[in-house]
Amino acid sequence: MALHPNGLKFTRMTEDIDYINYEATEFFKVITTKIAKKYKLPTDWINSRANEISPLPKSLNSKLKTDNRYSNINLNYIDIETAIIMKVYAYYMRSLEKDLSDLKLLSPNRDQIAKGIDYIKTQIKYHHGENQLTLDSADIQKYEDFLKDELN
Amino acid sequence: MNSIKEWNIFLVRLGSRVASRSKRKVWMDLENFIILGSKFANQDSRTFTSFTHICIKLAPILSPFKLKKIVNEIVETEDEFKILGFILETIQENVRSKNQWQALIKECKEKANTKKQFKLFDTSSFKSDLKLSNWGLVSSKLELECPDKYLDQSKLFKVSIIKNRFLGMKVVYSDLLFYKECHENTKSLNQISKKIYHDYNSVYQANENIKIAS
Repeated sequence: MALHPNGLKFTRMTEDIDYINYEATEFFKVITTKIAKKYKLPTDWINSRANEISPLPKSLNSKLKTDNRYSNINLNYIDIETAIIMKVYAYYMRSLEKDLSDLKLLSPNRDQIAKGIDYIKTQIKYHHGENQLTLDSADIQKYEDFLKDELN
Repeated sequence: MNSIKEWNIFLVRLGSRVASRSKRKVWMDLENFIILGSKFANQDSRTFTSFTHICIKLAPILSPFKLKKIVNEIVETEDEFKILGFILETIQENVRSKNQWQALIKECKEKANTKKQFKLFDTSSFKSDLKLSNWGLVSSKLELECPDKYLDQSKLFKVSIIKNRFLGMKVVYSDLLFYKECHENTKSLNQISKKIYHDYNSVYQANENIKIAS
């Protein structure tokens, strides 16, 4: 969803909205279910799946952008650089084609790709330890080379 | 032949959540739509994923015999046969009577040069999906575990041809009714039979029976 308010020009609709730093109340669930029914959206059109990613990129909070156009919604969303970091990580972990196509759209430069690679390393080190990171380093290097070739 | 624009509008009519909505109502023959997927579905990964979800859902009501009849009229290149082969194999996995799909899949295998790689989208892949690779298609995995994200099933099942076929109506009857529903100025039966890929006699008989029944 963050790609839309960042002004990237593409026609496809967003599939869902990921929210973070928020604990959904019962009222929130009732309202979002009603909205899903009214607009025929998937039941999990707004979800906290991104919350499961931890640690989040360090700069995420400080780089959050705000959109004040709406009377009843206070919309904060991630900037393009953070979106790139998350997508570089997502494509490495899930190998889903849609993540690569989003990266192509985001068109990252080499520095931005490197930041995404650092984030992958942080995640592996945090969850699986230094040894695992050493074991995976050749594959991660291969991945970085692939992205640089493919996206630059 | 229908254009990619019409194909996209029909995709949305069948419940795809990934393409932009349109108020325009487009009629397409169902099997023709499936075959045309070999030309138009790989415009991007989300469209392709959504189309694949539709094929999986429709698998039990599609006619392999009708598909076989029209495949060579529409599919032209080796790469299109690769895409169609992958789609048909996915459909086959989701039906009980698998044998009737075998001949069509075999034909695609023969006409697709699966040893020669073809980029399914405009990117290469870091880790290619094995099932796609078997058809010589280069792409990462498609998100096939979350149909709800890509497809509004209630919308799909409201389309009359889909509903009728799932309720057990014969292919020629459901095709004829769907065609008539979408075209006020009905053409001659001869023209309709060509549009819906059935022989004249079957369409005539179906038309007569529908007149009596209604």
